[in-house]
Amino acid sequence: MEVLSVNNLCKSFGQKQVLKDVSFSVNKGEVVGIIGKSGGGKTTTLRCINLLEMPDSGFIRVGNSVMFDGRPGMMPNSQQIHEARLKIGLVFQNFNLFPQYNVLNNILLAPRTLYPNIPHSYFAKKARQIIERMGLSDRIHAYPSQLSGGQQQRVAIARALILEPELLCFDEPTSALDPELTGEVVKIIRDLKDAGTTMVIVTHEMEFARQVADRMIFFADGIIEETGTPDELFNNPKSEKLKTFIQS
Amino acid sequence: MLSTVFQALISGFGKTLLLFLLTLAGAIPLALLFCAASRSRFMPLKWLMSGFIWVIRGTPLMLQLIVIFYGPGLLFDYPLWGGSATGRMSAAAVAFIINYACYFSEIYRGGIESISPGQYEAGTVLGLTKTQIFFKVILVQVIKRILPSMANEIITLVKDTSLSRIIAVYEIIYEGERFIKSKGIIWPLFFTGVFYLLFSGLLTILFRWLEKKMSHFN
Repeated sequence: MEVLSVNNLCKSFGQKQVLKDVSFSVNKGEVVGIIGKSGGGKTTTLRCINLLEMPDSGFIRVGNSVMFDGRPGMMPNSQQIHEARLKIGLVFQNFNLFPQYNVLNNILLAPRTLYPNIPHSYFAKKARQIIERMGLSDRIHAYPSQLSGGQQQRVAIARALILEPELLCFDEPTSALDPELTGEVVKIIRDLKDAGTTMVIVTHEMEFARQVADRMIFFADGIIEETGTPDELFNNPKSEKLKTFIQS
Repeated sequence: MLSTVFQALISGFGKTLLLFLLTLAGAIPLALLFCAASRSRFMPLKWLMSGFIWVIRGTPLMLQLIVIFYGPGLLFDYPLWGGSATGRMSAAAVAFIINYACYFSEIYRGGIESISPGQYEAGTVLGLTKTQIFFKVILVQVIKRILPSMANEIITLVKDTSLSRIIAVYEIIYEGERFIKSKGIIWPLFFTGVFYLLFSGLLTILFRWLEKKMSHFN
């Protein structure tokens, strides 16, 4: 079953065309790693999927909800976009935690705001479970500024998970971390994979991608240059651009 | 003698305090509106607001007081404020509110624009609306950031209230100075300084306390 389908996605910033007809899909339970040079379009793709950037044309569907449809008059209304958006979680490179809230309240802000009629205790309990899963139980009342980068990123993952998204996206989840802290985030992502979470991970850390991805997509100059299993892409790259990229 | 002076100064300080409080009560919310207008994507509104802020910040508050008080009567033959103490206080309050709202709105604007776009994006991907993001995520961060600049402006406001005497609002300096003319003594005027110092000292403590209350996050 397809959790995400992206068809013929195009996006330009001014004169520069960043995405040129990008199409791919992600199946339930699958982990897709997106790699490529910076400026190749991988982060833009992720931001378009979440409508943080408005695509110029194309089609994006999450589960059975249409997130974007570029055909004239076919664009979903804001309520439909809202529903589609709740099916995707996004974890940012720079975490973007809310500094004025502690760990627990960072996680609880969205569910409590979105579902005011559901008792607070329901989400509080759920939040504590997720926090435990993230190994942060002893930091539950800490503020983001008191946490290490790795801990902040785990809070960001928890904040996305509490809304039970069908698809979890990561934008360079380990790039802002000190090398010794990437391990704890990678471990959490592996645990999520083992639990069957559908994920799209944009990264330039090849080893990490290789470990967690079922399938890899290589972006170059705004198009999908090559796709396949990590083994195929790393051991038997077909395109020249991928060969150069792997060697660098 | 001492009690006469003290009564006069207390009465003057009452006016000062009233004008101060009216200005804050009016300018703090009005500035939010001004700020929204100056950040509007509707260009004519944005230009109009920026032009207005330029005029208000670029001319003396003293001039604005005179124009607002005398303008309606002299230009339109419609003495809006009348000559009563209440009328003069109202005119002063309006002038102060408009003037301070312009300064505050620029402080708000700086505060809002200093918040990283990532905060809006994080709220957006969590399904929050723009209004929810503003009130639940952005606002407290903005307040924390603008607190020192606001404290500065508000302490300036304490002293600026003395300008209102130009339209015969009998604030504390007016009261103090009166003893120079009537009794030939200057020490009551020095005492007005004590009032200002105590009041601004109190505000300084209040703002320190607020800053401390918000020091748990960056």
